[in-house]
Amino acid sequence: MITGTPRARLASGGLIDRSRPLQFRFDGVSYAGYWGDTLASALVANDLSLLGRSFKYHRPRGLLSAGSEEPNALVELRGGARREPNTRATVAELYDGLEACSQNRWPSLRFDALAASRLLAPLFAAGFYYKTFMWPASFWEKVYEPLIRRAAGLGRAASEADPDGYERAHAFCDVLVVGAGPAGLMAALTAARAGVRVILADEDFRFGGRVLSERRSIGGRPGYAWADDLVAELGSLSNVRLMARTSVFGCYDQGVYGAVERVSDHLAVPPPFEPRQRLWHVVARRCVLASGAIERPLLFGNNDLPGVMLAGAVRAYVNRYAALPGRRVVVYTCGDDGWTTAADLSAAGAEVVAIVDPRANLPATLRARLPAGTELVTGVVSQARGGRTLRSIEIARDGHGGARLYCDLLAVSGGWSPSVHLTSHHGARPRWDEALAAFVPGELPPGMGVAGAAAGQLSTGQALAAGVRAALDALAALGRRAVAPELPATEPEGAALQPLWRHARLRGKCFVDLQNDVTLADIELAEREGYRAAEHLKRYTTLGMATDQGKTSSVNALAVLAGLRNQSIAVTGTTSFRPPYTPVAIGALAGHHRGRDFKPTRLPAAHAWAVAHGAVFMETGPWLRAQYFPHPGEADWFAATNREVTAVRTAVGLCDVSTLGKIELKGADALALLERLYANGLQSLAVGRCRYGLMLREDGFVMDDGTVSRLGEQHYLVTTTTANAVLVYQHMQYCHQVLWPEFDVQFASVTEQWAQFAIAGPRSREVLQRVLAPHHDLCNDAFPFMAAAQMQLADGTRARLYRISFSGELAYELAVPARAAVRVLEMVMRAGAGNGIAPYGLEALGAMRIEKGHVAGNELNGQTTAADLGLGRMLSTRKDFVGAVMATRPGLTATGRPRLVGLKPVDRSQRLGSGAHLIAPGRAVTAAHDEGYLTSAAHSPALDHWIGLGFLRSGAQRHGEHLRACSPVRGTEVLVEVCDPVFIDPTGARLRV
Amino acid sequence: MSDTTYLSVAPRRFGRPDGAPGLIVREVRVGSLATLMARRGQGPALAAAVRRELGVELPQRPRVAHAASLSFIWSGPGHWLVQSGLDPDALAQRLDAVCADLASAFDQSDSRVLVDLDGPRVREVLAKGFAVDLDAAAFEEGAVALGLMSHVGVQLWQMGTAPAYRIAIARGYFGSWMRWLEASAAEYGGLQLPMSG
Repeated sequence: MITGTPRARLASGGLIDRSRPLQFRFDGVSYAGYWGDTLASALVANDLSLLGRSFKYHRPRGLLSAGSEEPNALVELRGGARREPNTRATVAELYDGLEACSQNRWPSLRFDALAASRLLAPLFAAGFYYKTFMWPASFWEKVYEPLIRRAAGLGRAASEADPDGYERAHAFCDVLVVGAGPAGLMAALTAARAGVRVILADEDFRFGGRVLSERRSIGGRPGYAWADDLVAELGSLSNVRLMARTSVFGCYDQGVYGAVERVSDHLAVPPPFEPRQRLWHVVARRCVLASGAIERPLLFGNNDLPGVMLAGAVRAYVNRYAALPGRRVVVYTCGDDGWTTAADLSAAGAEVVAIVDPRANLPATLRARLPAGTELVTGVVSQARGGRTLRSIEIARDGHGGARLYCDLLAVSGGWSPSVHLTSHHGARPRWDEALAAFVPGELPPGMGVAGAAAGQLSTGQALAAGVRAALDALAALGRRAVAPELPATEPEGAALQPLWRHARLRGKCFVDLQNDVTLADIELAEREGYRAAEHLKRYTTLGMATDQGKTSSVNALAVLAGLRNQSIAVTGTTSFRPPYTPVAIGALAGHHRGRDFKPTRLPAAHAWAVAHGAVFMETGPWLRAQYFPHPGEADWFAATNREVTAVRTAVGLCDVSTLGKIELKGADALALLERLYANGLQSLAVGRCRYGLMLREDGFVMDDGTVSRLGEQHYLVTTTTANAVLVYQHMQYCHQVLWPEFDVQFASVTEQWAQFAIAGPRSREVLQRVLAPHHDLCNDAFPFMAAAQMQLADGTRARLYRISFSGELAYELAVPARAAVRVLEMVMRAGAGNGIAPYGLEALGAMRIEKGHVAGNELNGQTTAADLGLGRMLSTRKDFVGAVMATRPGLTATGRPRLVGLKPVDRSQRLGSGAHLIAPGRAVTAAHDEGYLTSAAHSPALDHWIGLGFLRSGAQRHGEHLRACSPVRGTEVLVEVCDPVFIDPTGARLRV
Repeated sequence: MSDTTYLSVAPRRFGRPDGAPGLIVREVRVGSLATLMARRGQGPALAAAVRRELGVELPQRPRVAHAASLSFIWSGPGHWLVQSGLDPDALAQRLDAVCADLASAFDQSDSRVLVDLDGPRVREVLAKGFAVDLDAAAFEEGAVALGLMSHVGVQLWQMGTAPAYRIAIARGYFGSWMRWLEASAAEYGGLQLPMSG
């Protein structure tokens, strides 16, 4: 237990709640903080400055910033299954019991063995990988990749499944305000008072933005108090949704914004029934982007030492968190804003040794703000010195020579870069504003306005006014009249700046991109090697490609590149900004849809019945279908399948075929549409009859097969394969809506309406007769093969009966309304109990259709023509139909195309596997000798050996030939005999009994 | 054995067990459902026939219209879901009598599961899967929306002035949809009531 105030915690002040102390651990050591701290501020208060090791060189790093732009202070948060690598300490809210570890170091943060890689630094220059891991090629898999993988990455991801929940949600509003700083708050207030639906989102856990980190008053009160009052008013309005801890990370089409809400990240464990994070899909009619600005560091040697911190971040730690990041401080700034840091530090009791400002002839008003005892140095910092933390800096002054200043904190300010990211997510590039020395928004996405620092309006007063203006613009666009709220008084702020990029006095290793360890020398090298466009420079050096996306580095890099190219920054341009603005956890993107809920599962109406009968299930598309129904004592699927097939071939079986697509058509032109859709003629199909139908794609290949039943004069029902049900329905919609809208035809999918069961086998008629109402006669004359009728079951249930067969036996398909599915299956099972009725699954279904040479998905694979399938004679020559013309292309009608054949092992004890390729005896197993392949294989219990279907070049003429079925993947080879694809009952006599 | 129901018959809490439930869900069983589609060029005649025979304006935009024995729920241009207390055969006969040559009807009585959702947090729950604005400013009594809810196609309409909705879900996807609903309502607590209708 830690007691007492940490060393670097100021005695008073700050927006922390000193009545709520918190304990936390960093690298196993306990520390104390307060509610309202971030992990970063609590570490500062505990006087820790070394927080991590850099990506490439393992250099010691500390905090650069106090916000979401942080490149250095990445930690592993939490542990076990909840371990979260690369968490920015600056945005991790402190909670009691928080555990964090530094990363990318071994064995410890203070002593890191891989830091020796610094000695090899010359090797790791830009393009290192491209130049080093080139040869020999054989080294890539065994040496280079493992080497790179070991060195790459920062933190360790959790290896167990994430125990927490994530979800997504949709929100709609008239005005979305992104950012709750002074501009965003005023924009939200203006819009809210006008009565429109407002969403105000901010990534911070407290609204106020920069105001929270400054001592300046607003409306005569401390800035945070002004913000609190304004937020209280917003919170009282029912038309306002306040979203704290919510990062708006992307701007998409049609006013859609992506945001992630960290619902429970500020807690050790999400409360019961609460998600950890929520992904928001916000649809906004207008958006006011008030995302603020990010401060730029300055370039000098060893500028990455812990203790070098952005001046604005120093103010955040001192003012908001009452934590002092250093005792002896030097402020290095090229603008007036840095001087505020000196004043705030001085007021907080730190010793401000000096302000280093390169600008000559500073106005007296600014000079007057020099804290007592602080030296003003007109010059630049050439390099910093230190070990694990900053110890001193070397300064260079025109005409005065160098000097060394001892300090433990160097507050740097190179000016502010507006956070324009979301403005360019539609592709527009921001515009360089020479006066501001910053990129400001260029062309905006439709519906967006920008206000405050994000638009380059950097002072509080400007931001407040701009927020009101942007909201009024948005309201005007919505056709709403509004009253501008009164603007509160603000203090004067100096914003003068003389940008300082790279200077001639710079010494030592200077980092531009801290997170990816890209140095000034890397940029120079890339430029020398010809990577002179901003986008090329980025890719070659990886500058700006880390998780911080170059928020603190890109402008400095572009300025350096512009200097090397002797051109302006405006001409040099920026790289593209793409979502997400800040990292988004993959879990948040997945939301509810992971594991079993990865995608919705579609269940047939009788799923519960199959479960009750012990079915083993398999996924077929979205459906879960019974694969087989094992009996006690059966060794495996093979035994169960053989028994099920035998039951159908010798007695009767029952199979749920509800997943086949069913589309019902009516209307005067129903037949006309079907005639165009199907390749075979349907004109002669009588009411009460069904027919096999083959559908081609427009390109002439086979699309799908199924049956067409005529239920009434203008009433048809077609079936599709399970896999193509949606595709065929879409195809029909396209054909009707686009190609032949003049047809009077209406159709609807009734797949879900009707459960359908195959009742197959020589005893099927007698079983079915017991289930049907007694007045229905199933004898061959009354209800022959390919008959279809609407009927009633014995209990009055409505039904449709089709005498069609996939198994090759006497068979029926009985359709009943879905809610009756289980009841009807039970009836059929009772009716067939004396006949040995057996439920059968997909394995038996597949084995029997292979025995009959019926094609299915394996053969209808999008590469086969009707003739390839042995169905060429079905193509009607007396009508036009989809695919008729393209089916006559030379390539599709060429002789020698692979044709459907049957295959059986010459040694009947051998097993066949689909996917094997057909190679002539004596030939090498190479693609050049490939003559075809096996598409489907099964064991035939009736023949007592394996059989297969496949495609073989000119196969129809090669029955009796011997070939090898070779599977290089499985390492198998079986000598097979080519035969007719119909193995059982070739004349179809059994269908008609 | 009775016909399939999709939610258990007994009342059941899910998610947060304490406090008033934020969401109340119950399966609804109606007599019949049908897809009704205007024959080519017969839209105005169909509307006139429905007006004459049933005394109701057939909705031509995403709205529900209620007649004495049946409701028309807009499903697309010239396309309605008909919900009725009649049994499927009786509905077919009724539609035949009203508009035999003007429209085609397809029995869908078993193709959708209907559920009624209400409760103080019903909009927040639905927002977790449905990209349609259900706020009073944008959606009202009798309004209809079609879309995906958690990757499952649904049709939704508002039942009264208060936020209460009836949702038609493809029967085969109901189980997955319900898992999403329970997960989404967990933070508010949900109550499943016995089937009505």
